[in-house]
Amino acid sequence: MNLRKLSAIAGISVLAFAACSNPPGATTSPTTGASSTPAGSATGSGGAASPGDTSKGTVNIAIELPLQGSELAASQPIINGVRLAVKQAGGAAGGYKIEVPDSVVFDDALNGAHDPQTGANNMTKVVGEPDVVAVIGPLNSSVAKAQIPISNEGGVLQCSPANTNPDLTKGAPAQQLRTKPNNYIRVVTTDDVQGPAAAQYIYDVIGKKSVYIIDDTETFGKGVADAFEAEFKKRGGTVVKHDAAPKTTQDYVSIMTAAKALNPESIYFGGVTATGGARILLAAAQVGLGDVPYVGPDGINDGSGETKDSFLNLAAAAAKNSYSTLAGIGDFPGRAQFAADYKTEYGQDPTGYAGTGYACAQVVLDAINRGGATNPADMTALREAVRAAGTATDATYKTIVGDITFDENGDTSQKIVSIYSVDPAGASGKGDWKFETQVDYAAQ
Amino acid sequence: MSAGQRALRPRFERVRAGRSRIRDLSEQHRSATIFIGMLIVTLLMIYLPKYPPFNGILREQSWFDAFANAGVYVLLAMGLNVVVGLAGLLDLGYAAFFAIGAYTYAYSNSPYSGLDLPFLPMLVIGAAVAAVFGIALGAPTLRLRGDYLAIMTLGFGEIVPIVFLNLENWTQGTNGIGGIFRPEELPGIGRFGALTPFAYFILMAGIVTIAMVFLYRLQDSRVGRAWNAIREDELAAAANGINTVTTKLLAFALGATTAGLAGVFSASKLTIVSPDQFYFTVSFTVLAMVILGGMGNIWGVAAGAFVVFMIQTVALKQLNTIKEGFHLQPLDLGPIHWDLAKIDFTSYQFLLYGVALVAMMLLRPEGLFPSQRRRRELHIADEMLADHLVDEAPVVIDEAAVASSLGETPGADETFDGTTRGDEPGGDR
Amino acid sequence: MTAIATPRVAPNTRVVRIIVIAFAAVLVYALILWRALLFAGELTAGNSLPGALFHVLTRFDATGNAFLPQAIQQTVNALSIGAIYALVALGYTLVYGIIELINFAHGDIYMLGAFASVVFLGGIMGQAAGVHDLLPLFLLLIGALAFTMPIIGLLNVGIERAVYRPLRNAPRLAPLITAIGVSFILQNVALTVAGSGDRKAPQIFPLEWQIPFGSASISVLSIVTFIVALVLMSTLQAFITRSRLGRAMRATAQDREASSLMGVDLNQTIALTFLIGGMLAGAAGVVWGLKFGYVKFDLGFNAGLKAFTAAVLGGIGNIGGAALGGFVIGFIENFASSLGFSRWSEFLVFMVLTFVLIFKPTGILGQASGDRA
Repeated sequence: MNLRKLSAIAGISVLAFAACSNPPGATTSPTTGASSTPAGSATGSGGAASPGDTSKGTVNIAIELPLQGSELAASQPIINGVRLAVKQAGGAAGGYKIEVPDSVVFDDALNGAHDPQTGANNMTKVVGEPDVVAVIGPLNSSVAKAQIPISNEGGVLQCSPANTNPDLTKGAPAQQLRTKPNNYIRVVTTDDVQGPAAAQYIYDVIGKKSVYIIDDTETFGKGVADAFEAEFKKRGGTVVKHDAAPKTTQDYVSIMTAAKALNPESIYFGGVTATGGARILLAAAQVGLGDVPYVGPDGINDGSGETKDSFLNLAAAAAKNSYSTLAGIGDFPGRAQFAADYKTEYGQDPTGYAGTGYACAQVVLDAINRGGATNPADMTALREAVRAAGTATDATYKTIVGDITFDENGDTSQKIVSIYSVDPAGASGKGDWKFETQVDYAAQ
Repeated sequence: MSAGQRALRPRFERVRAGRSRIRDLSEQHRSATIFIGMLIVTLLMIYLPKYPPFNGILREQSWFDAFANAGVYVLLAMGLNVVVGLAGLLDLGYAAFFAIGAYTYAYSNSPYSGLDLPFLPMLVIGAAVAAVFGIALGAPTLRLRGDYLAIMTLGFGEIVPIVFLNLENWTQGTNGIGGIFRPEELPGIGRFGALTPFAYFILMAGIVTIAMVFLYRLQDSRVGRAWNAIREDELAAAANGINTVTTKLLAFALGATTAGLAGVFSASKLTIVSPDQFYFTVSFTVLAMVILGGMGNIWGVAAGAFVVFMIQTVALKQLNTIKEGFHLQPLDLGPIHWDLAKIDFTSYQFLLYGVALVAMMLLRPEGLFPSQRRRRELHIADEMLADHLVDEAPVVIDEAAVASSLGETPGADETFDGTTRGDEPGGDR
Repeated sequence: MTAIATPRVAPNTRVVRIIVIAFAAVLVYALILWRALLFAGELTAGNSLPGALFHVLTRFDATGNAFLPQAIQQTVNALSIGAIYALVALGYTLVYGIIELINFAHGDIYMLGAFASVVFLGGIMGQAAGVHDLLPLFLLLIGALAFTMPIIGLLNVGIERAVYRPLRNAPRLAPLITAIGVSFILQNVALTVAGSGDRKAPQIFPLEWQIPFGSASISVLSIVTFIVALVLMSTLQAFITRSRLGRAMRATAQDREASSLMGVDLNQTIALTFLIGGMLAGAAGVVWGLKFGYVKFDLGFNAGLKAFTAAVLGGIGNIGGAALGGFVIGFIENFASSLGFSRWSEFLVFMVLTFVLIFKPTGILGQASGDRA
């Protein structure tokens, strides 16, 4: 009876799968007509092959980001930016039709937050997808650590619009992740620049000489907090305490009570909203530290007060004196046009990493252009050509954030960090991030 | 067995006779059965993905990858089955041993530690380290009652990842240990690679087979019988001379050993270990697999774990793909606005587990592929009731035959002791 | 019951126990302040402990703040978080006392209470920020409690009826596993409906209402949460000891068969227990939302475990014990965080659980129950 049941279950499963099977990925036969209309004002999409030429077939650009919870608020603008870039390039590059269908958008979140193992599984799938030529993502440095070995072995170009941890590209930890030539590039700068930028801003511009640091013990949060601490001390400021509270902490009030006793003039948080950015601020307000400047990295710059689950939405009125940094350029020449195009397409203002997502897509499209020009015979050769083009150190990419080159590690030449403050009147009174200034560290 | 009862259940008897013949045969040649069974299953798993409809769902290499990952959970389920199903100790912190095995391998085979030890000995060492911890964490729980035992093991299951998380100087904290070296090449089968999981799959099939043989032998041995005794009535078992301390510790140790094996394998496959891979959700998932598969039945939990894992990784994603084909419109019911197109079935995974667990406990606690013994245990109340209902049917006693065999002649009003043969509790066995 | 003289816990033994515990608590406090002493540099050879304590209480640290205000602020904070744990622990202990089941789902009931209060305050009442007028604030608070407590209590009763009652006579493993299943169902329902991120909870108590106290400031919110919990706990105590239904509950907890022979309706009593437990958890949820300003689908799991530890610590089945245990756990957690060990707070709580279960399974105030096999 047991055997019978087993075979019955197996049989039903087979039938179910048979009924449900759908070949994954897009077809490789060239499609006619019905492609997206080329936009009139394409900003900065350089290309070698004639635009609109899709004779060589269809390829996909995969996206790999956390799509649950508060991280969705940070990831959705990136997806929108990528798709906008592809659309404005006419949906074609290097003689191929470029598509970003939902089937190649992967979610590395598990139970609401990014998960390295899920990310690794996704990257294995990405590499295994026959039509994917490059991948954009991930959002979190800890996920990238799990993914780079896989995409590197598979030889797929990976461009991240948001990873800022230096260990992904510099030094011995980065070497351990790569067995083959580099395939990973990023259009944002690293935390060893982002952290110090905040330190400089607090010390010089806001004028606070003492700070209380708290990080979320994760790759990104700890890294940026440590970099911040080093720079702040170097400038002569006092770090009253550097605490660590993992994202599972529920009660921050006791920690902040102890912090209050040390009387810091400002607070720096290393981490993202999902790991406690807003909760810490609320606890600080509760113990009487609500008026000191609260500064965080790009992890809290994830949308206005209207965006669900964003830092400003959760902290509400307590965020009146908050600042954040973005490891990327904030004010670029094409910004107004980009914002207008984005709003026309998606009905919202671009937030957070929408711009860098767009830039990543531009880089990838340009790499496909250059790679496709060598007329590769098959997909493997195309991937290798795209990878080589994308990581070539002598190529200059004209992107929306400016002209950038990549060094031999995959880091961008553009080392600009922008600083944002909170405008309580923005987003119909709910609060929004307002661009303050940006600092170029490439010159230093 | 009385004539009345035989008359009432003829079909069941014939089927039972056939089944018991197969069962006897497999029990006598258990290891051979396991080898042959696993060989058939492995061959099926190798060749089926090449054909439709399977090759439309995932690519062949992805199937092998999924099978290898499923194998990890199969091992975990078999190990937890020893603790929960055989010995009756509700262990809710099972993921702790999984973590210990994984981190052991990470310490011995990564750039972080600088060591690179051969893989097969590390399997054994990892399992042994986990076993030691199994004894260490099981020892304080020996005197505790079932529910307290559960809470305490839950506590340990939470503590171990926290310790790994917080001791940053030794474990790199939340970033985990990455770049773990893969095993050396298997001759004739291939490299262990991220994109070539076939070698992992074959290795896992081998490990599962050996583990199954081992566990079945244990189950049939003195230790296995001692576990059964403890599970059913600890006081009576102790009164019969069973050393409950060593028996329970052995259960924990063996459960931990299997989890350690799974941990070493998983670390070598994923090449990164971090504390958030080992939280309570893993323990819960394995527990759900054991309950669904059938507590106490070794191949039952293996099958259950495999099926549940496949549903989780393949079927739920397929449901998403099917749903996209339907192009659902958002649902607007007054204040509730539900965007049906945004339903992601993979996020319902734990909801389904919870519902399945509750449903199983209420309706079929012995699981989908139960062992006969457990089914009897869990339904003994129902069986007694059923037997009494059966007994209301007229039963003919051949009094003359009975009397002549005893050399007596009963009077008209005499009965023997007021009972009829059908009154034996539990019916025939 | 056998005729063996069961040792009565004499009143003076009780008093002695309480004195011992109080002394130990003061000692721990002193040790914590000792750490402050180390910072203050007052630890010279000539200073005795009382002298050093006196110094600390009046001593100023490097930034010119006295330690006493901080200690008081931490204490108030610990009391308020301990109050939440106590409320949840009461639910655990009541249910365990009566049907000997660890209700794993109780923590998630409490989480749903927090969500319900968010729905009421944010959705129905449309509050977003602090309310500054006393009367509306008071009414809103009462309203949130009146809305949440019955709903969550009835939900708890419903779960008991649907899931636990059929398994009342099953082997002990079955209801335990079912409770875990229910816990995951509740968590994932919240996850599906509300999403996985933090959800904003309207903090109707204005955060600016602080009582300045030297260098510290004590938030009125903490005091209010403590008072709410205290009121609820005393009401419960009065109900259990004075009312007929409460007597029925105590009788059923003591001996199920005998009490049903005495005419107590078992099903009704158990349902009442779950109702009360659920109401207390709902109240705790309201308090959480007010205090922390956010709710999340998984906040019940960890809090539930800590509350269960509190119940065990105080003596499972004992109401005063659960309250005491809740406050003790609150203090442990609070001081661990304030000393910089916030990452280890869960570890500490489980270590407490382990020690209690190994060395004194009956807890601080509990009495020896029959078998432990």
